[in-house]
Amino acid sequence: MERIVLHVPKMYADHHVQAVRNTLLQMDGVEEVIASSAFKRVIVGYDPARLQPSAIEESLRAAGYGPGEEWELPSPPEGKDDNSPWFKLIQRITETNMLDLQMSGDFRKY
Amino acid sequence: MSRYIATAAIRGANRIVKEADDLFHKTLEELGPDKPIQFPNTAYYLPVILGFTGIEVAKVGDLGPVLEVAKSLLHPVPGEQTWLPYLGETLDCGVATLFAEEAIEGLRFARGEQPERIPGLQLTGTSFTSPDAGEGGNGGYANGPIDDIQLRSWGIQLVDGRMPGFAAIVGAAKSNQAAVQIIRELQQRNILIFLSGNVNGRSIIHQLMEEGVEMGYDTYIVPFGTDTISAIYALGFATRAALTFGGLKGGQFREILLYNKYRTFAFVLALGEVDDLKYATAAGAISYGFPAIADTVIPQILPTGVTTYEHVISMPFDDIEGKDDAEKARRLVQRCLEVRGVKVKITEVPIPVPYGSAFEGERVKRADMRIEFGGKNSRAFEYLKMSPLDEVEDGKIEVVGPGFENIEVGGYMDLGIVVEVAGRKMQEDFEPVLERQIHYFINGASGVQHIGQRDIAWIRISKAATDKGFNLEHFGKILHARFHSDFGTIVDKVQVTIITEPELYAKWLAEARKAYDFRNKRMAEMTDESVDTFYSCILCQSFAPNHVCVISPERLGLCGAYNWLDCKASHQINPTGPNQPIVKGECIDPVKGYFTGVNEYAKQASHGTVEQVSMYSIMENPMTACGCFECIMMLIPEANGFMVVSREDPSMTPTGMTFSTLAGMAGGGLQTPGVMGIGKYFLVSKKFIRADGGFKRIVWMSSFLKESLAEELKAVCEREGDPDLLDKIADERVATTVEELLPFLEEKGHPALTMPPLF
Repeated sequence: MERIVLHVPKMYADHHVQAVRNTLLQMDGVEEVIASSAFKRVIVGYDPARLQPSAIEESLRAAGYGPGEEWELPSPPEGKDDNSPWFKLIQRITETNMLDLQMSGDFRKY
Repeated sequence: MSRYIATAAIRGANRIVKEADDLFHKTLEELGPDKPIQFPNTAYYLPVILGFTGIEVAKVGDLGPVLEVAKSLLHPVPGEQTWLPYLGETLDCGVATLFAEEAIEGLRFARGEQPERIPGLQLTGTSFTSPDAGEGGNGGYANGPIDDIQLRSWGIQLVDGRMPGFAAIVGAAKSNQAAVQIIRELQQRNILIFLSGNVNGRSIIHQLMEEGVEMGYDTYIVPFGTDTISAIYALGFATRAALTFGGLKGGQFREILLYNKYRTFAFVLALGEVDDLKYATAAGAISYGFPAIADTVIPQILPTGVTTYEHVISMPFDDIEGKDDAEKARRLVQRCLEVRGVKVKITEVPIPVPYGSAFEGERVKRADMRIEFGGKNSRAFEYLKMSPLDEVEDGKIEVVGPGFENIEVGGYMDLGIVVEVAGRKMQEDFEPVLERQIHYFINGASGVQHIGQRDIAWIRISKAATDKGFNLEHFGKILHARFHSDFGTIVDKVQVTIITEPELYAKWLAEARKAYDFRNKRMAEMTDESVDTFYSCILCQSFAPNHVCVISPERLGLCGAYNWLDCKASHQINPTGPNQPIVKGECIDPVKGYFTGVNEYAKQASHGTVEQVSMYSIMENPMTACGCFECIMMLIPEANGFMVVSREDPSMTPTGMTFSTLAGMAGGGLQTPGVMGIGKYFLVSKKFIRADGGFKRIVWMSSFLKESLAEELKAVCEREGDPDLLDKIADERVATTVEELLPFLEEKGHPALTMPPLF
């Protein structure tokens, strides 16, 4: 048995682990599948006499889990300026006032 | 705030919302916007979404606005350079995750993909009269969401602390031994267990199935599904607890979250690796005040704030001290309880099998049975009597007659359990109250099943329990320990005799029957007029803050769990507890049941919400309800009468609402004339809605009630002077609309049609 390690970024949760395992375990020649949604990696143990790694990758691609393929997300939401205190707070904190740092001695506690 | 956790949770949230959106559009295209979406037997639509937004999702098209709200809560993944306090963004994303997960499960229901299929999984039911019932059923499915009926039936245990909270377990344990031990530890503390998720395709559900652990409502172990998305049902349960018992409405998200933070002791236990979606879901759970504990190495969030203590704890399983996985699992559970601040009282019961309320619903099937007492082939009775202090030797447990060692496996024998108690505060009236506890106490042992009471008790012991050394003497040990622990205030000494010797058995059985007969007559003689004190029950105020139950000899509590004698005993046990005496005072109206003392107490204990309470009327100042009621009564104006629907009945009623929908109107401590929550045995009381015409006003009743109370209701009909009255009352088999109901009543000549108008 030989093993390959594939990076599957779309496998970010355990329902994808089930889908990936179901896909691979149905293939003739696949002997072992260890899929990790935390590391987004799948280790496939296969019989090289019956299966080529390219077929494994192709099968994953057909199931929607192509190695290296990222999710196509809508453009990630940017910092939303809705005038709420929360966003005002963020803006205030992102720019550190050096004077604040210099002034932040023990005496400020009193 | 951990940047790593924030990044993973926000990333997971963005992806799952995208997945939900994709599935929504796909379903919209395939099934159309009007395809109904419904979790089974709930009036709360998709509860998390309802709780947060007030949106009632009933069909696929309704999910569009919900997903827009979810998208609006999303934030970008934290940048590489500038580090921010990400808590607010992470919690927002957590809530967006919950919306997406619930939307996905709703869509899966619409597509016929839920509950999840798990071959080989058999769940234990909720109620049965024979341990052999339901064997060989279809099975093969995870539980899916918990229905309203079960939520309500657990209500009283959730409020009185017997069930301190729930553990949402996600993933798979390191070994089967660890999985079983984690579950047993939680069961012994009566903590509800919700299971979901997997690691490399293997879930804790599979581990428990392999180890033969019984799952289902009866054992407090509810398998939701094998992916993390199904963990949403746990938060749906929490939301519905706030809506059901807290009297909150959809959209009051702040109140719902605070309610859960302070009243529901729940936590998330992540077993195995934690991926982006698990982080995102945990972020959603943290909004409810539920911390997350992982048995792997992950970053921690220790400061308190949204949760009462730590937010996220890592306790790598391999680093836990302990000689084996079982001991490590025990320590892991202890840590979980510390983090959530769950206070659990455990009674040490010196028997060789695990013990706790979570084993009460366990079934011992014939194939697994070592021995049986009672049932078809033999007889078993139990009798508790009060004796003088000097005649009882505390802790004495005697087995008179042969044990079951010589009986063949799967055999049966006669058994008598005689408990003699003594105590300065003990009263003869408490005998039946305490005797009824034998059922619960004995059932708490793992591998022992108890059904019935008095001389129709039916006990089974499993082979597994006897293999561990369980024998007849252990019944005595259980009873001695539990009576001291639960009733120590009124019971000073407990002595138990287990009888299998035929001559002595016959002697005690005769004495027990005499006592049963005496108690029956005493109960029948006890009326509201014969006492000067009623009792309150404000146990449920921890959940329904303005509700007050007034319990009289002829009106038991609406949950069915407390009658007047129970309350009297409870008050003796805990004089400052939830059952306080209410001196009736002057009777203002004997027909409607107005008493000065009751009114004063109700006003004060309901914090001014209730001015007056009528004990015997549903139409004028009816008693309020928390949410634990066994039945709901409601006016059907067209029929000039009332219907009674039981919580076991999921069918439609002539009011156009199911039990679950009606419950929203009847609960929460509000007085609504024409609607009332009641205990089912109130139906047979002479005082049952006496001011409104009594039992003759019932025009519709769940068939479950007709069947389960057949004998008692027959007697009521005879007492009312109409022996055929029960046949004149419709049920869900003949009428689920008013249009169907009226011709039925006319055809049968129901008396309500000719009674004076109700208003």
